Amino acid sequence: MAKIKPFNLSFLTHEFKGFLSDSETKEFILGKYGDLNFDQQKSGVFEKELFQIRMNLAALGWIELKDSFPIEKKLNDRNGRSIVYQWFTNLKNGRIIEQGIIANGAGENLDWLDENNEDLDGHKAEAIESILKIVEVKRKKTMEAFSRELTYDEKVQEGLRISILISRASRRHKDLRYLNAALKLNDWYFSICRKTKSKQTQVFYLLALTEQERSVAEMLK
Amino acid sequence: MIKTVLLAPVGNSLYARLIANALSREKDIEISAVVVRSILNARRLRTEFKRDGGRLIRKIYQKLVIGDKRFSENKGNNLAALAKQQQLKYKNLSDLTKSLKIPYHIVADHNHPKSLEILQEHQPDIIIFTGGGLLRSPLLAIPRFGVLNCHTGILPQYRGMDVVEWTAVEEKIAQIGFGATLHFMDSGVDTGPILLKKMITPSSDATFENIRAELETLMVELMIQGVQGIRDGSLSPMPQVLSEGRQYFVMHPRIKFAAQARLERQRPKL
Repeated sequence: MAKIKPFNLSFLTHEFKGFLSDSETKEFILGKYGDLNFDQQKSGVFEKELFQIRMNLAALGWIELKDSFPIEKKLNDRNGRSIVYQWFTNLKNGRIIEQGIIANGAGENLDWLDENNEDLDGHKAEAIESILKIVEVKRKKTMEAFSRELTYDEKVQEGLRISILISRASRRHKDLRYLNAALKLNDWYFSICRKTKSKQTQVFYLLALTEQERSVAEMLK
Repeated sequence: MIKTVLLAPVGNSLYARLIANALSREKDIEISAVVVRSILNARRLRTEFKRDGGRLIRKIYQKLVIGDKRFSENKGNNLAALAKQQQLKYKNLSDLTKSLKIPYHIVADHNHPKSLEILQEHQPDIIIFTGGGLLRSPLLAIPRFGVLNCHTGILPQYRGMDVVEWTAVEEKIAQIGFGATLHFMDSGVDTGPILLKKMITPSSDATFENIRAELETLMVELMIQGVQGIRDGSLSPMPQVLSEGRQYFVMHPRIKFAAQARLERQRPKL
């Protein structure tokens, strides 16, 4: 009888116990990274996300970085202050969360603000705290808390951006509550993302998981 | 005479039975009714299953199947030991209310109009909340003094869920400690005015399980002391300074593993 590799069963373990363990997460990340990195290097897409994934994996000591990344400077210039403030100005009623719906781009833009230590007249901290509450109170239904105008894949990607935001926020603010919410979000997205055909979703999920693991390594070990 | 109504999450809640049993022996304290939330509410089960998935099944199993048995292997200070000490003879709230001639109601949800109607009929001075979901403003407005809740943690610092574990993982055992807080409920989560607070000193081999078990007995004690204090006019509720604390949520298993390790690391300092 053919032997079944443990990894092949990891999704079953996840379905049964509801979460991925340290080793299952690492195995999944490295497996996916092998596939995606190879694919994307050829086409040059998702350059920014792959760069961030590689930096995270290197910080975790899971891969060695042999080459330099000229992309770094470009990344820092890319999502400028004016773009984020423009996004905020265009929000419906000036609210990041309106009737339980998280505004499109909230994860990415709030992350930029938090990373650059900027605020939206006191709205940033409040918005991140409200997002934390949405994830914790709505739980699995958080995955539906995005605009109906978005496609299914876009909604998943918005959700993964939220996961990335709160994983990073947990490290920046030394607040384990954010990591707690990110772990849950990533567990809920596992069933969707392990079988998605969308490369973009796969890359975002991989980035979300590596951000989560960096926070785990920094705050729980 | 203080009129109370007790709200319970399930008919076999030992916490609710112990409080009702102790209060029934108190002078000038009347339990006007016991209201229990029905477990057979298809709509609620469906909503909670969509939200919680497998966790809901575990919760129901623990409440209905395991019930009091969860204390049998646990030595020391816990609700089962307290029940023995109180010589509690009632297996559920239905038995207790029948024997003590207290009206007993089963409602779909504590916030349901029928539940509100029952409560308004009884005009309680205090509602004693022993669990059964979030309470909405119309219910909170019914009792003269307010709705009492005992929280398994130190307020205002640790509001919300799994706060024993959160205290450990944030390495605040020495600074904040473990304890229970009796407070009036308001529309927030554990944000209402505080009546009483009491700490415990965990043993050097303490686990989350036995810390929680000890806190549950403390909660019974605080709830009774709180009702007595309101009856005697000896307690004054103190509003919380919310900025001194944060709200916590159900802890992910991977953080729980870390919390366990940090509890062990902090124990020698206790």
